[in-house]
Amino acid sequence: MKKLLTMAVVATGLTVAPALAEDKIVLGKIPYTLEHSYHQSIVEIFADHAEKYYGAETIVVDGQANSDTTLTAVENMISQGVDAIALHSPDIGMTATAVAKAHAAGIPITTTLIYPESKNAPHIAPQEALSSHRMGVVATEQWIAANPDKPVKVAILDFGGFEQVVALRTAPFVAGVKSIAPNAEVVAQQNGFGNTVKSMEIMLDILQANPDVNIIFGANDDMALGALAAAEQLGRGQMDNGVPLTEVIAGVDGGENAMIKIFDPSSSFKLTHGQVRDNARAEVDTMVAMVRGELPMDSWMEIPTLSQEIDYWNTSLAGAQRFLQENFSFDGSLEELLSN
Amino acid sequence: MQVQSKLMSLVKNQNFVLLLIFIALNVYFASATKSYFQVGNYFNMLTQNAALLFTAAAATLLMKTGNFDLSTTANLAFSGVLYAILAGMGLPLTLAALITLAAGSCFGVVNGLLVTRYDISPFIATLGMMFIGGGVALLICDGQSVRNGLPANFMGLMRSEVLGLPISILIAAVGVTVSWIMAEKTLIGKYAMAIGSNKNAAALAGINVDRVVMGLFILVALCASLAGIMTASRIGTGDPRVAEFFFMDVIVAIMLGGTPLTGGRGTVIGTVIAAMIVIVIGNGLNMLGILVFWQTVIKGVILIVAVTINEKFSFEKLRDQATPSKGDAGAGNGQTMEEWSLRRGNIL
Repeated sequence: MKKLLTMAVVATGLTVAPALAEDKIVLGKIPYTLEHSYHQSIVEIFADHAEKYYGAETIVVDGQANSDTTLTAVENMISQGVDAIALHSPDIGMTATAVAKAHAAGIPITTTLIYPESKNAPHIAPQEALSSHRMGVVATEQWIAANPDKPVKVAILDFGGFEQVVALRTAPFVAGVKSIAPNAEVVAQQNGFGNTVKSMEIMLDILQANPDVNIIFGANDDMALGALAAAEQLGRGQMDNGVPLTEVIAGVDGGENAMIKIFDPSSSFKLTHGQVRDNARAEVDTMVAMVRGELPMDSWMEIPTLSQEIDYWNTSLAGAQRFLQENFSFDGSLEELLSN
Repeated sequence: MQVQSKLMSLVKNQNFVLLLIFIALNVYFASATKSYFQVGNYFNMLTQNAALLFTAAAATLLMKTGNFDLSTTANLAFSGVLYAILAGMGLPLTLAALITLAAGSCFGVVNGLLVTRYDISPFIATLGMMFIGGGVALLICDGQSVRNGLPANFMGLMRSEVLGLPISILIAAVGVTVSWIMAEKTLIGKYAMAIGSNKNAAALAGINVDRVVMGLFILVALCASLAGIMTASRIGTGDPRVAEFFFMDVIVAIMLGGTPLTGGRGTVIGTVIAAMIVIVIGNGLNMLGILVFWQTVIKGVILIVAVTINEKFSFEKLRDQATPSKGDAGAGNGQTMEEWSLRRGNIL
């Protein structure tokens, strides 16, 4: 809620000026959807970095996880005459259209996570595949160490066929699992709609049909939390001081709600990865460099950022606390939250 | 005295009030942000919402009969994906569009059959089709957006211009005009009104109610299918998840424009002005950087206010009170629509 209010203040506060400022750089930022805390944090850090380091103004328009809405936002930003656009698009094909439109208007544009096949604009590339693979490895190692006689059965909640979610998250995770347990089987893969409640409903059905599932991957933390809630409802979701009893759950993003579960020794949600701050800063830096003519706007350049893997067994509580502070403007104490 | 009477009549005209609101919103947004009041921005708004304009105009006729279509979003997504698949298979774009329109019109046929032949409520029938269509859209592309093998001119439809006007705006203008002519200048509009006013009386008057309703369901489905083709052409891909709230925007525009869910009254002009109000609010608030969550709240408020105005403060009643000697324009001579219907022969 606090994040939401902050977002509202950012989004409305940025527009107090009656028109685009003519004497400073104006950056347009189109997040995938502002319904998720991850994207709210990206926008917050983006606007803060742009203002603090470049004196730049930020205009935010929510892409609402929809191709049509996202392209509309790009067109409106072009019409507004922003100096550069940062796009996190839901679709590869539409991204190509958006990049072409921005370039036709002479406006630099960066992409993140989803990029066009034409590869004709700088791309901020969180190295998610590495971390997803690593999570698959760690989850499987922990499960087999505690339950050597139980074959590995995997269930996945994804966004329903997004190619780059497959490439960056689900496929590397499964590859990581299979690198440790070659006979591991993916028994269910369903669309969790990126949503906790939906994911809980779907995971209840999956676990009903496949009670032997023991590794669960949610392609974001909201879905992983939904899977955990489903497992708990069925009397599962448990660990014995970090030793897997019923299953191991992994997510993506690394928000506060996920961290509380990950560092709870009795919960089976144990791994995540994410990157907010460096992505947002890389977007701003790249855009400003293009605006200043220091980078070509129509050449492919991959700007990698580390999507840090965090898990109960290999990450310290202090490390997780620092991650939350840096990426989610977290000002509380993870230790205190865990002791409550 | 006459001038005062005319002014009073104008104030009690819902379309005039909507027009004033539309103008006021434009003035406000133009003063709030200099990026708003520009030809390019208006072209943007109209291009982005051309499909909404002509679909809402056609759906007004359907809603005048007391029916509505929740499956327009699914039809739009299905048609966009199918069009892209066919184009990717190498079919000429015109042929791909015709096949897509034929497939899209099946939504209307099924909706119409369920409502007219099996007497299923339009809410249930079209809700079912919304789920079926949305699922089929995902199935035929395996959940992936379709972009492989598309011809170079795939986006040509939405990029082309005639006399400096984007073709999508012209399509919207033609679509709206056709719906307006059907509503105001042909018997279809009067029949739709008669069916919405009193379905039994309309049937007794010889109007082939089922055929009119079926025809209008197909008309709306064709518009939604065309909207899908245009959307695929605009974004350059066949995306099965596109425009999820299209059906809500259509219904909000129709209801804000003065057509109630129960039918029996309403105008295409009212719908178009109302749609423009919704479009302008969305664009203006985006330009002001207002969080989209607030925009959703505002859309909900608009819908509730529109329904309240329609149900509690009928502009038609006010207008009738202002000019008691005149009856409905379609019926004429102070007849009620039911009386007019009863006097009609079996024309269809």
